[in-house]
Amino acid sequence: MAFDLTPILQQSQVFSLIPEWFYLYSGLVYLLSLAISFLVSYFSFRLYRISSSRKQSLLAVAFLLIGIGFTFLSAASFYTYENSKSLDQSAFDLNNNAYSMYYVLTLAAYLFIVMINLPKKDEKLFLIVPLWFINSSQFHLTALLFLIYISARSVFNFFKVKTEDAFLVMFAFLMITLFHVFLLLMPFGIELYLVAHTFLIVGFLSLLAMLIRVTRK
Amino acid sequence: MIERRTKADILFDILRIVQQNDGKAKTTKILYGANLSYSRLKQHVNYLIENGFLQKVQKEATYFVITDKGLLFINEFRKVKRFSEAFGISI
Repeated sequence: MAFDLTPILQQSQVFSLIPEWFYLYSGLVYLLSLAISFLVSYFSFRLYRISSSRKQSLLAVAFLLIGIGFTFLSAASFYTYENSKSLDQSAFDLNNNAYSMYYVLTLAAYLFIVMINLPKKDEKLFLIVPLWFINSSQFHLTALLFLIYISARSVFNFFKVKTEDAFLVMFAFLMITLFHVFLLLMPFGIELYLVAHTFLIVGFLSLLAMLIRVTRK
Repeated sequence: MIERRTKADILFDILRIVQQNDGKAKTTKILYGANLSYSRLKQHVNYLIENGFLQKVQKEATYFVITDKGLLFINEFRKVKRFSEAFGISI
């Protein structure tokens, strides 16, 4: 698969900026996030078989896509960490492809979650949104737009139902929103990369807590 | 605005009424509890019997007994409702 060279150069610049051990940390964060995403997807699909709710199936697909996206990122992060002493063009290509896949899959997933929250008549409006982004800033900005809507809906839902489960979902989406915000702010300080990933894992742990509460007898 | 109950909601309501009545209930009890017309109730109860969630017992009077599969459905459906509510999804 051929890609524009610009992001490869950007990626190589990023390589030189980020300390090696950051890749181990982000790899572990992605690994845990993908496991939780697959769990949420599996549980949502199980519930879809009981309720036959289309929205439940969309949620299952959304978290499946998020999980696959993190699988690419996790593999790329661990590869980069393992080969950090001798990074060559293949490492840049691998990271570039992994990030491109992650961008598409994650935006598609967020789009599905937005669609779950939209009135049926407005669902088709979002099918025109482009999902293919090479530039990471474009991706994080678009993701942020989707997540602001999703988070606002989850805040509204929490105040409507006032349950701890709804609070955990709202908290999770707010944390994932902050993950994208801090990655956008990364040019202001490389340590924000760590802060962003901490928000991400806190968000997914919040989803895991909700899942444990709901599934326990 | 009152949301319309889905088929799964109605089946859950019927099973819950039978469960709360020590696991067995007569038609009248279910009819009032589930807030359904007789024809709609008959249709749903038949579905539950055919799929093994309820069992029809005929002695002096006819009543319905909840099966293990029915109890499992109640448990799983509660999880569906809780999970959906957490995400703000109406099912």
